[in-house]
Amino acid sequence: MEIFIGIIFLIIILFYFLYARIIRNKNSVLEALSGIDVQLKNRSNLIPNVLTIAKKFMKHEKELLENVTKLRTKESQSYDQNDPSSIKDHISAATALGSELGKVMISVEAYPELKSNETMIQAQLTYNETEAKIAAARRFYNSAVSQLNNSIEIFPGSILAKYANAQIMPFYEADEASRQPISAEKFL
Amino acid sequence: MSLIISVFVNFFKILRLFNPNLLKSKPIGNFFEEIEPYEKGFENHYKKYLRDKVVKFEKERLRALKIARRNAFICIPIMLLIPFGIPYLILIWVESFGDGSLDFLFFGIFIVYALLIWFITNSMTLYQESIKTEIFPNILNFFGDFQYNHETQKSAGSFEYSGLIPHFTRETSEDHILGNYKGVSIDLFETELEKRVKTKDSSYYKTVFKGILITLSMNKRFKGKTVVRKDSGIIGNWFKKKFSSLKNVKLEDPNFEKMFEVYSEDQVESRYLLTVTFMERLKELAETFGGKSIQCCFYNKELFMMIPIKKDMFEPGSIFEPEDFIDDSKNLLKELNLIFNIIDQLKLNMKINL
Repeated sequence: MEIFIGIIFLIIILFYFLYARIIRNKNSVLEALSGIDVQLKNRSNLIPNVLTIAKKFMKHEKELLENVTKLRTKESQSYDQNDPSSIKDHISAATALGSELGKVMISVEAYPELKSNETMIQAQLTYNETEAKIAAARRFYNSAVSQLNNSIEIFPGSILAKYANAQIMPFYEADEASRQPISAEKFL
Repeated sequence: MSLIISVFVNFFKILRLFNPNLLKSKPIGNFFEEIEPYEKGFENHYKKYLRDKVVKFEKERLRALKIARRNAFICIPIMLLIPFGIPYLILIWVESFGDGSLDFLFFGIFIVYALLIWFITNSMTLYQESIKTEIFPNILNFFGDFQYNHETQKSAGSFEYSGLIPHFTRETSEDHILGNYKGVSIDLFETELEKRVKTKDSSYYKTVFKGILITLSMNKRFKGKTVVRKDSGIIGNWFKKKFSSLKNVKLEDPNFEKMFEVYSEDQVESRYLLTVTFMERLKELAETFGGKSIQCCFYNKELFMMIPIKKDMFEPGSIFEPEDFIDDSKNLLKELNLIFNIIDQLKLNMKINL
């Protein structure tokens, strides 16, 4: 009888540890998401300065600059950190903005006056730093999501996840354009 | 233990003093052959800063050997006679102090031998030190604004913040080098850290670290502290995780994770510093130095590294060879190149966020 009670007690302790691990992993993902959002905010704050200067010189890139403005607005919208589809949309918006902003930075090279503008030079340096930090924040997020998803998908995590209000979260993946091989002919 | 090793090393130096050709003048090389890529251009530097000192130092070298040989002729007979006197010494000692404290007598005899060896080799040691203080700076300035000091005010204790310095009781530090390579400032010194170990009847000193401690300026801005320490195995890592105020950082590279454990105040900042490419470079650097023992800490805009190296670095060539500074130069250039390779391998001079 005592052995039976002991076994039951051990199973309860084990389930508690697994439940606590899911909660810890979920909180890590939320922490990582916040980390990304801090860096995205820093990047977003750069955009008005960049667009103000760029508009003066890049008269032929009007559509690109307008895209950046629209995507910035979309990325800044609030989202539900507990809803995987909301997070996925937020990630897509951030990735799309990153892609368009990258095109703006490359286009700057074609305008010598803009390229040598002090404010633009500073903005490019800050942009490069911010992108590096976004990359780091993404790596942390993916690492946290991997741990959370593992703890949910491996039995009995799938049962305990409901009680911990935890779900499988999306990874921060590269957009399709970034995955395509780059041809030098496009630029030469 | 290091005292015993030092005595044996000096004993072989003393034997060479009896070479009949010791004080005969030998042809001195006066041409520095540039063999390695990092030696390119040194021949002109040698002609300008070192060649005119050769004659003076060769005279000093022969003078130091002459004094050492004279002292050897005085001390060697004493050293040979002592063993004959030991039985009498033991009798007198036992009568005075009892046979329980014979260890002290033998230790005292050992100290007498050590002092005699010191007396013989002192002139040679002083000559070697003069090479370090007067010639090394002239070799180092080939790389630009580099400073060399044989002694150092710095201590391993000043790097306690990294959590990488092992507990030690005694420190021997020397060869402090300051300089700038490709825009990266370098501050390094050589150190040996020893810990006192008590046994049942006595105690001894055990070396817990021997190598160089080097601080390099970083090409990235960061605020917190990130520590990369060597992997201590499952149990060692568990203890470090439990008692560290820093958070454990799990990185993507499984081979890197096998070699190192990373702890940081900020998960994002640690990944900003330890990019995938940087991890590859750190692994390659560790292989260059024989495996997993490199450890480092990013803190206060600098990268602090502990690199264990068994041999004594930054030492002059043999006093028994004619003095032309060519061997000294080649050794020092090779050892500095090893340090510069750290900067090149880790690309600390490049601002590319990789």
